[in-house]
Amino acid sequence: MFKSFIATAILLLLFFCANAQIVRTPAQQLLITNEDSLNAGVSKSKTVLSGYGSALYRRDFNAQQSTMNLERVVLFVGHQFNEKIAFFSELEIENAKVTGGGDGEIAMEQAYLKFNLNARKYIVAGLFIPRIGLINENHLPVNFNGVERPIVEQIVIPSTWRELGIGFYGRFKNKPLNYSIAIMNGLNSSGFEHGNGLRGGRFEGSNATANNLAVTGALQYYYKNFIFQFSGYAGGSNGLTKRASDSLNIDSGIFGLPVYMGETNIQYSKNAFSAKALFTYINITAANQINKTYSNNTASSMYGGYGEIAYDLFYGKEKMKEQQLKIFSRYEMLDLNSSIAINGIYDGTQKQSHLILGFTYLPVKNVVIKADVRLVHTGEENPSLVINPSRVRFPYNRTNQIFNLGIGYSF
Amino acid sequence: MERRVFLKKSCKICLLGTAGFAVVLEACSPKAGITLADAKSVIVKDSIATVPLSALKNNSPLTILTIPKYPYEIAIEKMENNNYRTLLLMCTHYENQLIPTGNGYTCSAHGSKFTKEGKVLNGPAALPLKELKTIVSETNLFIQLI
Repeated sequence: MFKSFIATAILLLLFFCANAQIVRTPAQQLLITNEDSLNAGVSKSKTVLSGYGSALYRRDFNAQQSTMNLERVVLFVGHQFNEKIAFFSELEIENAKVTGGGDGEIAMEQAYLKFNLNARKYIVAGLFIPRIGLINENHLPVNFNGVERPIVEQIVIPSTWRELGIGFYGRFKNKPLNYSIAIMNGLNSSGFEHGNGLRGGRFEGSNATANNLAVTGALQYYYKNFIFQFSGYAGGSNGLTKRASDSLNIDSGIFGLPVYMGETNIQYSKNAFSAKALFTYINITAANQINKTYSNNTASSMYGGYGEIAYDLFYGKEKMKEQQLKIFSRYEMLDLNSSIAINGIYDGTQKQSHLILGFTYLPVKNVVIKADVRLVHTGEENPSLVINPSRVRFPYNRTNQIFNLGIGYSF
Repeated sequence: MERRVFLKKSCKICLLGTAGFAVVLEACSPKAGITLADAKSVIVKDSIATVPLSALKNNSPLTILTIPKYPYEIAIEKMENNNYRTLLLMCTHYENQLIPTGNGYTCSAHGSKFTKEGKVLNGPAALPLKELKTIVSETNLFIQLI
């Protein structure tokens, strides 16, 4: 009796199982395999390590000085908590070692949480790089031509420019149009340095003032072989309290001593040929207040732009299909004091043009060997800005040549 | 330059830029080759997405499929002999969502680029895009999700 009950139960179970399988279509049956059921899901919790780095040799012909430097080594650590939430970080060591008084640096380049809202929209919160310019988001050495990052994107757009905040990124459903908007801590105008643009005013996640904030946004449109981008930034550069600001007689508040930046770029890539162009303009309306308070000769406005063309000599060659050899040329122009405040001092050396000619060789996708020559031309030196010159100082030369040789990797 | 003058100039430039941009968008969008599949008509059961062929635009070489609650989009490209190539738009470097461009896919996190066929064009990604198992019937496309 018991045996027949068990047999009936097994038969019933098989019957129901068989019926359950009948629900699937033959096509669905074909698609499902044991392997798939084992590997199902894209949202497993996991930790990923990767990174990038670069080293260079440089010869400055005017200074008659050659240098070698392990420019940066960056370690990425990311963790996927689930399909909705992930963590991402970049830890950077610049110039190989950090010592008291040395110019080495250990810094978090990024450290943020990413919340996926759906397949096209996500929010980031923490220390992140906003979408301004090209190099900010694409700063890996394998992804740009030239041993050095474009000068305009080092000084005028202070890449890699990271601040603390929250950002929303998305893409329209039926148009290849991306957008992003972010709120971040503002800049610190007391850190602005003559000849270094906004670079010294970044907090980079370290005890940033949040009395002043910044808003940034970008639009990116993809069309065939083109990418168009517009981005903007507006933020306060005074994080002092109202009381302290009043005592210094400078503007305070969220957008106190504001900095405005507009940027646009276009990229084209087809087969072996690629080209890009970028232009950016910065306006600091209260430069006179900054100069009065911090005596750092901050300009009222600055601009920079460049155009680059490149051609991959190995493109389409079957034997070299894993390799790339790009020859490129880039012309950059910038003026860090295109207009000055009433209490500013004009410096012709900050009006510069750079012509870079070189090659980028990738023996595999993530290893690069680069070489280039940079021809520099600047305006006249302003003698009133040369204070206590050294006796052995070379006379200022408006032209210079720099040779660079570099290696880089990413993985 | 005074703040008011700067803002006025900037606004003018932005308005002109936006207007020009909108014209470009409208002029270009049908040729961009990217259309959206009607997600409402897609049924997902047992990790298999059933996509009616009628939801795919006949004249578009590439359809980007968004499945509700699925973290990545899927690119469906019609090939010869009524075959379809379906790529998971997940960067093989850090599993970020990819952005479809006119001629491939790009990752905004680290700059990896992939061709339309899913091959790596620029690192740091080293592996090609994951191609999903797909079967086509007379009326439907069955895609094995992972």
